[in-house]
Amino acid sequence: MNDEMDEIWELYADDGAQALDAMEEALESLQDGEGDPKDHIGALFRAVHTFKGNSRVLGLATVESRAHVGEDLIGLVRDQGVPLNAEILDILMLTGDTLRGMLDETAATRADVDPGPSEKLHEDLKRMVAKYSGEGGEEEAAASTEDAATEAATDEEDPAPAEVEAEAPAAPAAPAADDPMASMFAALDDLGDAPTNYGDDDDLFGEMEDGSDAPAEDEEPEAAAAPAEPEPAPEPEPVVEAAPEPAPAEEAPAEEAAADDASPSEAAKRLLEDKVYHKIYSDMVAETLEHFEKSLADAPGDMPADTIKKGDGLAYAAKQLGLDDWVAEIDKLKAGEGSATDVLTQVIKRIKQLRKRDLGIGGDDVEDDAPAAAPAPAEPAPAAEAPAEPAPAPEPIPAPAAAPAPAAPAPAPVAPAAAAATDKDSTTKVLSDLSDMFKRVSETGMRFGGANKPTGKELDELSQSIIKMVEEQGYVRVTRAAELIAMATTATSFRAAELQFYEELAAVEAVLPQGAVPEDLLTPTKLLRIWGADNIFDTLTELRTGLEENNGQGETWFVGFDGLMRRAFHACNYFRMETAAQLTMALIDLFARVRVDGVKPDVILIQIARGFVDTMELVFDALDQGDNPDTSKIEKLFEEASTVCFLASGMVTAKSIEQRLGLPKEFHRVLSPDSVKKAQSAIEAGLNFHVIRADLNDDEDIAQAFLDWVSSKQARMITNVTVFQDDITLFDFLVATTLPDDHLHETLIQIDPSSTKLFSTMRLEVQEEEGATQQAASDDPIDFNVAMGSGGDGLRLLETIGEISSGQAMVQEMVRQMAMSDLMQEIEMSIQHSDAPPLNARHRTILRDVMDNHMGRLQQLAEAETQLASQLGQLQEESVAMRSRPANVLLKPLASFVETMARKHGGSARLSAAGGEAMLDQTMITDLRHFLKALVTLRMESDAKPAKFHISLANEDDRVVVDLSDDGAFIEGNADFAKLVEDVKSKGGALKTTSIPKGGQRFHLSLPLHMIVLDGMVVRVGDVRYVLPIESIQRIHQGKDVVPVVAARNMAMLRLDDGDLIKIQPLSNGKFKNGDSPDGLYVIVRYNDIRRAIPVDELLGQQLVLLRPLRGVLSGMRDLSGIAILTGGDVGMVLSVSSFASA
Amino acid sequence: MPYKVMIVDDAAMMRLYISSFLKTLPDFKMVAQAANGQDALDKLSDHEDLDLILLDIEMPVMDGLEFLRHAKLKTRAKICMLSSVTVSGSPLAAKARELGADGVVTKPSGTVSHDLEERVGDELRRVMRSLVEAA
Repeated sequence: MNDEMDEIWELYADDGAQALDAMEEALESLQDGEGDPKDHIGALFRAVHTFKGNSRVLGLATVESRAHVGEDLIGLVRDQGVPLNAEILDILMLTGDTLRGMLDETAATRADVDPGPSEKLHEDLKRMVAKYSGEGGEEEAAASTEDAATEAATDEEDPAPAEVEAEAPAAPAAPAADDPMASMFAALDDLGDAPTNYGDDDDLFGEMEDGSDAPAEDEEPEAAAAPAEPEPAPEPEPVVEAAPEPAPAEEAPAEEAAADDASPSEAAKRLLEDKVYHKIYSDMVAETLEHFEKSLADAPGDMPADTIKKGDGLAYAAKQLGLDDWVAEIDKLKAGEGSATDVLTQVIKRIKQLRKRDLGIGGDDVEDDAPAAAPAPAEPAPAAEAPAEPAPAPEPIPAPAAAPAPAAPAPAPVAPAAAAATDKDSTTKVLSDLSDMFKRVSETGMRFGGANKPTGKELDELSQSIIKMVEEQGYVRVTRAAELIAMATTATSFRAAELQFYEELAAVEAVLPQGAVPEDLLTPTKLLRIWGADNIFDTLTELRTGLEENNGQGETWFVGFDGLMRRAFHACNYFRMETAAQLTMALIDLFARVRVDGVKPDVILIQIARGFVDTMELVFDALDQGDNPDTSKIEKLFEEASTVCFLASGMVTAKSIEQRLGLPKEFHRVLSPDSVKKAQSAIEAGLNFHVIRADLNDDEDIAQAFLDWVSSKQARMITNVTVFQDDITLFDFLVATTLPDDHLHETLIQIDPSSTKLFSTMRLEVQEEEGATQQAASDDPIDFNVAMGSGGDGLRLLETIGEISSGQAMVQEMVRQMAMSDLMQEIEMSIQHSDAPPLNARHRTILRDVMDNHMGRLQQLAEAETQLASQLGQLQEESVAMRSRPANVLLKPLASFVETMARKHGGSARLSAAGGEAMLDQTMITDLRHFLKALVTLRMESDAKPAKFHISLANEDDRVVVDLSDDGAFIEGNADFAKLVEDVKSKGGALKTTSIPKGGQRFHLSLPLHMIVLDGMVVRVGDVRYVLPIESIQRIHQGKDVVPVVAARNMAMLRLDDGDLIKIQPLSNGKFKNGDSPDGLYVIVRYNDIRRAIPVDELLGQQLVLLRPLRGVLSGMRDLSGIAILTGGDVGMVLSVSSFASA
Repeated sequence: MPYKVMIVDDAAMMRLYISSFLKTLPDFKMVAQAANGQDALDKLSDHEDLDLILLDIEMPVMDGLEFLRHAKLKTRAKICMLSSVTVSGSPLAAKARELGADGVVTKPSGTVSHDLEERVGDELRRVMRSLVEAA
């Protein structure tokens, strides 16, 4: 290995020098204007690409990063049409020089370079890439194209362009730049009732039950009134065109390969639409035919072996392209039926016919026999008799799909170029014809949401109409998608078929030459994007529900997830959010990998997916409002997705192992999944871990003996790292062994008596798992951020902070008490109560000095504690804020849900909302979503038939209050409503309903806020501790001026100093039933204009507490908004003052 | 009988690197190397029994995507593209899949302080095995 590493480093130096030479040469040629710039740019790109790749292999991150961004810049010139100007040439020259210096240094040191000196170049390159890729804002790009010298000024004027501009680069005419959603709706209007979403009678996720499948704004009144005829959608072209077909999992798993075998031709036939494949295969056919004809000329008695072999080669290629009928014909060479001459003659003839049909290549000798095929006539011709041919007469060859009968007379031979033109024209025509069909497809899908659901017959007719249009073209995949439309039985299955239909058509469109499709044609690609954008809120809602309920598990779930993410992908492309689109593909890929491996998705992966949904909801919401969305988090998620590729295959566990073993730095990020498994197994077996340093360069005997030992039952080699010591290469082996330390040393001495080439440098102590995990969590900013993004881990982290905060408060209180005590006085009193002689003056002076010093330190400690408490409180609040989401995340999809439910029940309804800006914890959003959907469903499924809903939402003190009103008929609460009331109650909330005098019904829903940080006064009543929100405390009162209320038993009033009378209201634990506190201690709380005096035993002090929801038996308790962990670990009941005062 | 592998990459260092990795896998054997697609195409006829081709995308003379098309029709070998992009979803990786690549794997990388097998990682090994075993 050492030799190989040396060789690799040498090659790195040689290859790198060659690459940089090539880079310089290309740059000079470009500068001098010599030759074809395209060739030089290609060479330049490859040179930097190679250099980057080599650096990456050797872990030279700084070198790689500089080369990488250089490559990106050249890529813009090569692939994106960015003009190569002096500014770019200059910086690339500088990059070349810098990389050469780095090459020299890294080749000598075998270590990465210091990033500092090249940091400015790196930033300049990145800025330039951003500028020319449009990510720096359109003004900047325009300015730089015209005059690079103005760049600095432009940068200064617009140093931080909005992210939406970064994602949606220069396209002045693009409607999306100003009002993307409006433009989307305009495009949809142009489609009439076209792309849309449907009612919800089942679920993509299979196991979903809440019917969250909801439409977007496609049924805006304006849209409904739009003209029926489709108009060209004003949809801008993206800067970077995505792959025509969303990719499945990155690698083809065995089971998928097996599945593919079921219909290989469908998967493969499209390959022939690729020009290069077409040419390669055409050449192979020509070469094979030439061989066959030569063989035929030799009049063989038996079929020659080389002819069979040649045929096999072509048959294999045909099979790869899905041309199974070719295979069947060629295989006749081996069947041995008839003489070799006859068989060859027949096969040659058939191949020529097939060639004409499938490749558009044919000559006179096949014209009479060739059936209509790929360059298909517009109309099927009447059947014709097969012309006379030498025996045996060939059978008619079917076209790939429902071939029309052979034409008579046969069409003239078509030259390849002409055939290609014909293909292009016919494809364009089909796409044009199909654009009318889109509306019909969309309308049919719409009907799933209403009472007039499409019948099987109608779906079949629709499917057949499409098939009729595409089958002649041989579009088997589109045909298959059309067949799925006929098979749809629900809105969801129809939508899945519709997605596939559009995607397959988009794939057909993608292979057409540029400009082949008229710009004003509503193409499948445009439609897909509009359709994706139109459905995006539903899509995200369904994604969220699926992630919440299924956690990324199950085949059914993945199929649904894949479809939804592809819809999101198209929506992202509509708004030209390239990174977001890539993130969707990356997430599909990551989940697909997990599925292939058959393991549960990593929690971090789930968190990223949830983070994606959260972020995209806000982004699309901002776009909907015409605002510039903040897409910075998308970039971050994309980075995290990049990391999780590695995490999913073992990074998390590797970190845990690193922590548990306390591995030294050089082992950081070294452990592969295999190593992790080995280490974990060794830990479980209770083995001892050592780092053994080995110099195995010169003494093969020692090397062999050591390797034998680590392969024996006494030891397991976990991994190793290379250590460079001067010019010697050593290895540090991480070894787990059954041997105790002394035996290990003896063993090593037996292998190396000198103890200079082999010795243990470190014995590793295995830490407990929990501590290591916590340590790992605290050390990993990515984990932290992801965990805080959403979901359970964020909650756990927040609770942990809350507990730390509580513990810290306890310490603070102890320190405070110590600081406040007079130790000198305590000493004197202790002496006084003992038999010891009293202190004399000198003793007292000395002791006083010591005590003063001690007290001073205690004061300082108390101050430090106070500061720490403040910081912890801040951390807690920030953590809470990170979990918070605007209520719009809830309200927007709810609006869609209302519309869907209305359609589903044959009507229409809309929801207006207020309070969307209120920030809520994610748990609260989940609860509210559930309750509000249930309420809407109740109303829609009743006879109330509301057409308008209005919802208002607000945070009030310790509760979130929601009013949902509608204009439907008032209906008394039924059993479903009663159950809902109970459900709300179980969450500590309340649900009430009233009729609206002018017609309609109102629901008042309130839930206690939780996962918020509360500044509370902790009081003791009996053995129970309560937390009273500080902001609701008006004053503390000590006094016994209690006035009984004669008219009401057990009621008393407290007279304050100013003469005010306040009702005394005991807390609910049974103490102070008569309201009279023996110590006369009362806390006066206030809610709106209501004041109450609460008798308490003791004030325990003020604390910042984390308000947690009531669960289990506590959920039924009155007047409480939650619980909190208090100083010392006690549980405090947090009083809901609003509920308490209103009782 | 180990599976026969051809490495196609214009970077000699990457070829050496991967061939060193292959040496650590007893069930694979590197039987041919090529510096570009055309070179690989020329060598195909001498290695008709290849099981796997590890193929770079960016190469001079004939790039990986073009060679992929030839190899797809002319050899039985499974074709695994080596992508320098760390996350799938890149246009080139998607294109490679669309054109029939059997697998797309991120090029190996790592820090210099640990050995080749560790660095190349599990993914390439796993994909290679899944491809040849599915054949």
